Amino acid sequence: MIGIMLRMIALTGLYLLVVSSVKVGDVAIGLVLAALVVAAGRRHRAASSSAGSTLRRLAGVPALIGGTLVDVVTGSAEVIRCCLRRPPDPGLVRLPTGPTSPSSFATWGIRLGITPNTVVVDVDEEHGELLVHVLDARDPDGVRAEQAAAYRSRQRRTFP
Amino acid sequence: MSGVPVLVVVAALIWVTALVIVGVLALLRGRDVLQRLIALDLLAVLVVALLALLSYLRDVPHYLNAAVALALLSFVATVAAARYLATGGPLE
Amino acid sequence: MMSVVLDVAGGVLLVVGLLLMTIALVGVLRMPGTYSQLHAQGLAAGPGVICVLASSIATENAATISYAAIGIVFTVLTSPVASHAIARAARRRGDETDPR
Repeated sequence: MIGIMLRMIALTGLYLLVVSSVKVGDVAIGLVLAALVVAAGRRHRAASSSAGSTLRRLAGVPALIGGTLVDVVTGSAEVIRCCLRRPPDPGLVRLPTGPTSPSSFATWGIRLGITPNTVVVDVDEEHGELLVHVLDARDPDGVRAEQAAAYRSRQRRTFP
Repeated sequence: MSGVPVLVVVAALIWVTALVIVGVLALLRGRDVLQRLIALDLLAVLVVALLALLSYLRDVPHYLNAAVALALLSFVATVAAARYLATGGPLE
Repeated sequence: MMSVVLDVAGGVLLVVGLLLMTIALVGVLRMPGTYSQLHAQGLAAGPGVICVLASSIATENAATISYAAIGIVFTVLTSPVASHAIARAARRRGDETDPR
């Protein structure tokens, strides 16, 4: 129930941003459109979660966004250093993602893609593995450990 | 206009225009079709920044609509071109 | 007072965004491989554009800020997908470096 409410609020907010007004009529149209989209999306989504787990996942959202912001800043600093000098040793690294679901993979991809120092090259959904390109691949195990720590502290609560 | 001083915005516009010219050089200099695709994507990003700066300078919000539309178009174009290139060209 | 703070924040964000774009262009011109150029391009397409659009807070115009917010949301969602598509095309086209 909370999940449905949140989806409707988010979609209505997006609609209001697009039309950039908060008149009553616009809010009503936005709510109707959001309800239609949520109803259409529910048909494909079988498992519905309890209110407690939704709230627990919601509590992890600030850590997800804030942590990703920190990652973006540190990753940008590394890429800037590599742009102005030679990159140390660019290379591909296999990155195990652990238990996998489509939403978890999508969050992994956006988190790694928006930080400039990692580029997702290939996704292996069967084995739960990502192929990632990094600018400093001298220590692949270090890269894996770093990303696993980032997953635990930022993503695991919200998109396990 | 309230906001960043007009002089700063004008200087930023001139700077981004210079960056667009250098970006065209990067486009011509690409060794590979994918490197040219990257340069083209970068050019779209620069034009989005140019439109945003123009919107700040003239205080017309609707230029930002054009910027968002351009960003989405360039996204679709990049993904389509990359998928096309990934399959190995028209003969496959 | 509030207006001055917003102006300074907007100016700083604008300058940071332009610096990121300049460095990204230098990186695309200097980096040797396709993957490495993607890192530099991601620097402009992600943080660079976000900084330039976020500097709209200095205009104190509700419509401008809401359009810029939409731009930021779409950028966060689309820029990883675009760079992943290019990287996958590079892999499929025969860049068979061994993964570590």
